[in-house]
Amino acid sequence: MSLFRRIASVFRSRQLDQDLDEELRSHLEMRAADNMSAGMSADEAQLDARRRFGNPALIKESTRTQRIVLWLETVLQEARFGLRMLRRTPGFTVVAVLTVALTIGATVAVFTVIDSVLLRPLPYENPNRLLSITIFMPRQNEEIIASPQYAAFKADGRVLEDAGAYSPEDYNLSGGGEAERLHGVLATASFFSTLGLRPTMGRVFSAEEDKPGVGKVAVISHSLWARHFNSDPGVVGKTILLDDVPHLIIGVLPRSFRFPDVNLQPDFIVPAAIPASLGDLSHPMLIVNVIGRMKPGISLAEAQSDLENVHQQYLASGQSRFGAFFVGSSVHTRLLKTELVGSVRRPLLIIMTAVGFVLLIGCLNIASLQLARAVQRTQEVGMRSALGAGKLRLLRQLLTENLVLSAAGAIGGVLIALVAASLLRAAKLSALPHMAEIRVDLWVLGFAVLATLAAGVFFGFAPALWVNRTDPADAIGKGNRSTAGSGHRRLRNLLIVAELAVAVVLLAGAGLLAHSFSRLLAVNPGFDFHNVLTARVSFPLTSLQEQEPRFAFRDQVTRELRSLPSVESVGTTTSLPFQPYEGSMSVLIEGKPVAPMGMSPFVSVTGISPDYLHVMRIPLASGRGFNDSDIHTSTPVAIVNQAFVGQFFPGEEVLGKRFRVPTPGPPAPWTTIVGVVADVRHLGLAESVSPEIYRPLSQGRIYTGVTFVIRTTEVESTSAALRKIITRLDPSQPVSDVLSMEQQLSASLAARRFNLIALGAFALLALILAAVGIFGVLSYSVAQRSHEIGVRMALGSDRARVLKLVLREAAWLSVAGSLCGIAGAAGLTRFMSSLLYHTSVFDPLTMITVAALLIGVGILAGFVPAHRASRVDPMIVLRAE
Amino acid sequence: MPKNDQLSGSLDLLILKTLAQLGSMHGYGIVLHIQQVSDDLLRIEEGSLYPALHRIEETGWIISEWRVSENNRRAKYYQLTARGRKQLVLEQQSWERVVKGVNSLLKFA
Repeated sequence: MSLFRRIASVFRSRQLDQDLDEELRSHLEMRAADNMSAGMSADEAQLDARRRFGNPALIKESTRTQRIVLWLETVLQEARFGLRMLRRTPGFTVVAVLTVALTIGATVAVFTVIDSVLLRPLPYENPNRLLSITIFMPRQNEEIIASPQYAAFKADGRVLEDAGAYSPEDYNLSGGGEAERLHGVLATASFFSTLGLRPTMGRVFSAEEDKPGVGKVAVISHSLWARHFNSDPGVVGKTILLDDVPHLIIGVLPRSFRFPDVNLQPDFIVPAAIPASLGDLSHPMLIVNVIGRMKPGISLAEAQSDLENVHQQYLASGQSRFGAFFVGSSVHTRLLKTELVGSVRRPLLIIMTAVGFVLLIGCLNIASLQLARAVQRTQEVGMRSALGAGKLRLLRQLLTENLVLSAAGAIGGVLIALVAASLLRAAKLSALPHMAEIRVDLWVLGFAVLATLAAGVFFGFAPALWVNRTDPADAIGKGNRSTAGSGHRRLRNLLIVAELAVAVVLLAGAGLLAHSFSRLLAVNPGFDFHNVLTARVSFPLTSLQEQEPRFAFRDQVTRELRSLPSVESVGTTTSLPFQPYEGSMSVLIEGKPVAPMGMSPFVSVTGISPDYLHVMRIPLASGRGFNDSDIHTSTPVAIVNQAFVGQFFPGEEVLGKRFRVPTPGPPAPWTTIVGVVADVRHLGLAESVSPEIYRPLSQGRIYTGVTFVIRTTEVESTSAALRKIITRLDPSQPVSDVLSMEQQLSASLAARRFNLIALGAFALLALILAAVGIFGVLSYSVAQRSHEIGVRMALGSDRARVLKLVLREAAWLSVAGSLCGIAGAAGLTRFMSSLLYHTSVFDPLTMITVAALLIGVGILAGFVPAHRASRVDPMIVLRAE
Repeated sequence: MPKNDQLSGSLDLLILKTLAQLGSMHGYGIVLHIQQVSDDLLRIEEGSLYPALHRIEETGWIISEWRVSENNRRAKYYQLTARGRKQLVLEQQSWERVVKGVNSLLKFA
């Protein structure tokens, strides 16, 4: 009530003034009237009234004092005074504001990312009840769940209110416009109800349409609707050709919809048509992702144990066709949110730690600067206190000054954060989800304000307060030449050393990542990735029976590409290096012990054309490559890699050995090994090589697509030519992933590059802040010691020696900081070991480089103040005393 | 007539008490009341009343309203609030303690 009135009175101050005028006038009139009735003349009466009343202006003033207006005015006045003080020391101000701006900017930028990636709730109904359900198979060390198990979970209604399953599946979109390879998702009808997802237009499919062999319907994404249908409001009811099969469009998803798996933003969703009956084996099993919605009040642990029971009962019932695979398996349930964040936890942890360090450095920086400044100002403060400024008034002044400083820094910081956010948005980092949506919102601005206040108060005000406990008489007596006591100086040096040490830890982390990255780049991938263009051509699942025309098409494209002048050679493969393997098989080797059913070793299989090894320059170690006489009617042949030889034929002759797929029924034909090739790091440069089999595409199983590999001198023009050739030969055939092998390599390193860049950027920031810190503190030290320096010079010290004196201090601080930092890094970098490739967490070369860098920068930062010190004129300094 | 500077601290008490006795009154009336009831012993400088009235009003112990006085003048009338009544009890008690203390001291030998 009272507070409200006070605040309200700020906005009504003019009205209140009029009111007061009138009240005082009324008082004077009443007194004058009484005087007159007591017999005075009118003039006398008025004069007496005024005399008794005192000075109306003064009264008005002191009445106004009672209002909050004045409080605000005082604050403004103090802010103005603060600004004036800050202007008087522009060097300090610029350094401090810059520090706050950089620190807050970095923090806010990172908070923005964390906010959009982690803190915002999943955009589904009651997201806290959503679960991700998988089955962990210890032997394969894999989490996987297939449609029958999903059906079992769905049928059990004890803990789950609803459950849905989905599985990614890409399709060719043809008919009208350019043929396109689309990302699609097979999903159950319950997928929509589980997430509480409603389309903006039309409807989602019904349980009826989600039965095997029923619906050819599709729900399309907002982006496909906009891109392919020009946002046609009448799109519902039209058909879309997916893998040459017409699908009826029944709904459009909202623009804001985000698929639970962030790496999968599908263009459309079609029914998964999973049989509801567990025993229905007439339909192929589908590997799915399962999302469940817990009933209200059910805990994660309850859900976990109930679903585990369901799983074990299902296995015990013997309904599973692949019981042997599931030996020892168990159900894993996680909150969907945890599951989604899990994949990005590491990069986020890195940037959070890094920015935490930067914040720490920034705060230490501000603290040491303020300390230096406060020490320098003891005289001023002492003087003001001697002149009668109250303790409270002085503190309020210091606080206001710090807040003014922080506010200026925060404005800069928010600007930096806005720029950083738009850069991050533009960078479209694949290492983190939702990056395209990051924005600096009110939440984030609130965070900035809080961070600023905290930084300003704790790290600016506190040291100032600490210093200003001084006795005024003492402070004035000492004057400017005071060296501020060894206590202050020690504290300041401690702050700077701590700051440098933290910077070294960050630099060491970034250095290790850089070292690891360069080691990784030096790894021989096992093939020559320069000047190779790749392009994927996928075939509809529905036309698998007609392999021949597909091969004819592939051969035609190959022939036409070969005829291009810039093209040296052309091959095809089912899966490129740095991409997941297209297939794997369990093998039974002739003459070796037979493993029990379901326990045979798995090897990866790649189908290649005869030219593939030549195009990729994968060296043949022994035997022969494939040739045109290896066709489906001739003896099945295979080429293996050296890892295969190491695992299955250590020290034996390999050529001529035979293997086959272990089948329970009639044995499959034997495949003969005709060649051995060098290992290719198929799964990525940092991954170890697993046993791998190459088979001729012409003898192979049925493939859903091939990737062309083209060795060419002109990657750009060849890719354009490739598209033209394919469109001409078959307009309904889309081409996707037209990338050079270098781009593929680079994409495979994206996560590591992100870590390196993030940590590198923060380390650089830390280095800059540390340099600013040394610069600021030495500048003050020099200003303070100008008397001492003057005396030294008067006593015959030359400029070079003074220069050295200051530089020695810079060097000393840097060396101490480096040593502490390296000790700290030794303790902290071991948390990074999993991020490093063949690099020790205490790589001596990295540590030495980092220390040298910091010491170099430290001395460089000390050079300006050192130079200034050497320009000190002893006459001026001494006369000033 | 001595100026009662020493009374400035107890001005709040005088104002609150006056308003408790009169119900509602304007500033001038408060001055007259204090003067009359105290047999001219207490006189407040008329100007110093207004800062006090406004402060007390900000605090929420009294409220004000413009009305027409008994002899047809517009004047601002003040009146106690419930919180003001409580405050009056407190101030009165503390005042009585002070008086008691001062008296004991004066009577001491």
